[in-house]
Amino acid sequence: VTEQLLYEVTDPGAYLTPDVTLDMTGVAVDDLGGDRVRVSGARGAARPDQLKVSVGYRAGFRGEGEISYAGPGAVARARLAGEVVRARLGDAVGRLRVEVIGVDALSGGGEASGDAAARGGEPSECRLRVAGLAGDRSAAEAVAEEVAALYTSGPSGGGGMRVDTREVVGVLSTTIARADVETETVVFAAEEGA
Amino acid sequence: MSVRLYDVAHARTGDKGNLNTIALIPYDPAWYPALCEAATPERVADYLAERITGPVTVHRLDRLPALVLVCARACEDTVTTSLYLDTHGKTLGSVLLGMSLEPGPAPRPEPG
Repeated sequence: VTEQLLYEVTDPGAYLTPDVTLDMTGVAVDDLGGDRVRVSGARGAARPDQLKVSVGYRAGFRGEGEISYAGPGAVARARLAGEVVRARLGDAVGRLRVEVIGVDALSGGGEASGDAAARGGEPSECRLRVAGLAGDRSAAEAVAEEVAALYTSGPSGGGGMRVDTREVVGVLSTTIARADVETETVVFAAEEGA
Repeated sequence: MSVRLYDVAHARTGDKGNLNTIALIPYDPAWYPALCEAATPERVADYLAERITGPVTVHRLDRLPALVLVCARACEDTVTTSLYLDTHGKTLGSVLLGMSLEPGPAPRPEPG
């Protein structure tokens, strides 16, 4: 209940909703037993004059690629592959993120992945992920192409490559005066028997 | 072995734009003062520095009791424009639970 009460609350003293400004700094939750609780102590203030508006905008294209490496030296090969992609892309992509992930997708839970201590703590497998955001689609697609090229022109033994390029819609929030909002209701109804 | 936040509290992460909210709730209210002492803006920002670039604000809710930590990511790191796998930053609360109550050498995983 407490987790849900505070979820996505940025100011517990003045949580803005269209109908009330909520102050939950005095809220208490009491266990009444039998899976029941009492929530008390909430206070309200005048509703805000400004309403929140979320605005979508075209933020460019995100290109992503992933490829996995297993066995001795897997992490070193994944890191090297990431450096190769970063170097080859150069300044072609505005923002680029290179990271290494993974636990038991390739080697299973048996002897092949069993004793991390015997490997000096090194994972038995890992997965390189490269993600870039660019203004135009072709630059974003270059990220996918460079990761795909690792199959044949990268460090030894890469597998399970996946790539994806898609347009990104960003969202920014601002406010608008309540008095400036015009409301209209449109009902879309399916035809009988459709 | 030092006590981690994970040992005495649970967390729920929410997101708004480039902000993450982390509700930090002790299992036993007796641990609330220790949580207040440990979860300072500076320590939280430092522990989550891989992702949290802006200031951290701590709100106290003494009667629940619970803390709400408001953490700012980079302005371009929003749910739709982020390059992270976890675009919302939903996992940051769990990351924070790995922090030790006492400052100093903590069992913090090395960021990649």
